[in-house]
Amino acid sequence: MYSEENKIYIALVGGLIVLLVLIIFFVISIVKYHRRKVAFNLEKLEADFDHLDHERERIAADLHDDLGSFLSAISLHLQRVEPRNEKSKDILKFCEEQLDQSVNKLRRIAFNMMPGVLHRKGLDDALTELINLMTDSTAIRVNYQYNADGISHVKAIHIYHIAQELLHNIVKHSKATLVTFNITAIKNHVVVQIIDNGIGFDKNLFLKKSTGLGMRNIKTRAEVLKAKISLATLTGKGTYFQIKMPFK
Amino acid sequence: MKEKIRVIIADDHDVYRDGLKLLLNSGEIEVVAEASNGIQLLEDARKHKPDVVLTDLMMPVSTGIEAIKELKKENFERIIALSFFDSDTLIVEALESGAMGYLHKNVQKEEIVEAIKDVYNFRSYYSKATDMRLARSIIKSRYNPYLNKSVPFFSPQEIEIIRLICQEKSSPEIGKILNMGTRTVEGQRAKIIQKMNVRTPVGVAIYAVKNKLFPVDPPL
Repeated sequence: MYSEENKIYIALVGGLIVLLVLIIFFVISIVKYHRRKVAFNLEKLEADFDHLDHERERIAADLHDDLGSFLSAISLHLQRVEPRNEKSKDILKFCEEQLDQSVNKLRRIAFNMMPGVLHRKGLDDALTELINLMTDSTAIRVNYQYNADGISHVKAIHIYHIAQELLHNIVKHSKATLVTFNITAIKNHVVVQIIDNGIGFDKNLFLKKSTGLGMRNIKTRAEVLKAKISLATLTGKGTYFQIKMPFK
Repeated sequence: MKEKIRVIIADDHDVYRDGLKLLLNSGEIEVVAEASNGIQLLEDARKHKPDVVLTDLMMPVSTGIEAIKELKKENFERIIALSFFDSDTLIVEALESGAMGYLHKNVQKEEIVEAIKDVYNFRSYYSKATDMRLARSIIKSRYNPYLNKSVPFFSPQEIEIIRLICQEKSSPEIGKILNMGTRTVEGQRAKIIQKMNVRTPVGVAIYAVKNKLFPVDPPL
């Protein structure tokens, strides 16, 4: 039979094994819980964005098509007014000009929210229009290449808004003259690259302080896309931005 | 009395249609029917056989683009697309589908009448507010109203001026480059525009590139 001492050892080892099993079980459930929570958060984030983008699409279409048409109709009706004197003529002219500006402004707001062309014709055409608008109003030249047919509409919306945000930053802050912008499908991935020759910035400072709404939006959208962001920049040396995500 | 140009207008917004109709229904134009969607437009066109169709592009049930394609199949050619100035791709699509011209929605009456008359006479019409950005998109597109049409002769000097017009140069600027007086350039310009049967510098650019007047790549 076992001696008293051995019995204690066996009990100790038994206890340890039970404790170990319990700890392993505990760790596994924590990991599992954490994974579920992450998945759940991502799903929630996806749903939130889906909802947000859907609403944006609807509001932009309403603004652009409905309100835009009403304003244009007013402008047509105003043209039938026959002013009685110079003063009324001036007032009429002023109203017509204001109306024109309102229509233009309305269009721009709607386009910034969600361009109709993205839904109608897809990412390539939407980005082309965005770039055209940008190069029209600035001295920046953009070399743009699109080689990623078949991206889903939901993904296209995310990519479009990320690109919009980045291009906006380039116009506003970078003092760049040349931008290279590629979207390429490679095997099972889509790679978006935006490279500019602007003044660049201090990356560390930027990452620490990246609380701006724009950058946060990019990060959250990238998260939903399960994308990896790479950023390389040096003060005075331009900026390289890449985002790589699974195609499907 | 001269016969009026018979027009159908299609737009899904009543107020806009009303405004257009009231504005046009005087003088040489008569609005014979109104439609609020593409399908109705097709039915009206078959029934009334209009001279010119003026159609919005974004309509419910059946869009203007679909209607234009169908109309084209039934040999209606004189179609003007109505669009907002920021809808470049939509305008290009309308032209590729068979529209003979397009107008931006908030234009003055005179321009609408001018466009209707031009298209009535089988002449392409590009809205005056067209900027080079849209012109570039049209030039790159499949749209080509000049296929199988003979091209008049342009002298080397005219070609040179056309090229400079395409680069958005003004008459004084062209004069400086070519060592000519502004007046002479303007005279030449008028002659070119008349030969091409267009109205604006944008028209010149589209005509020039589509008819391959340049031996090299498009200057735009």
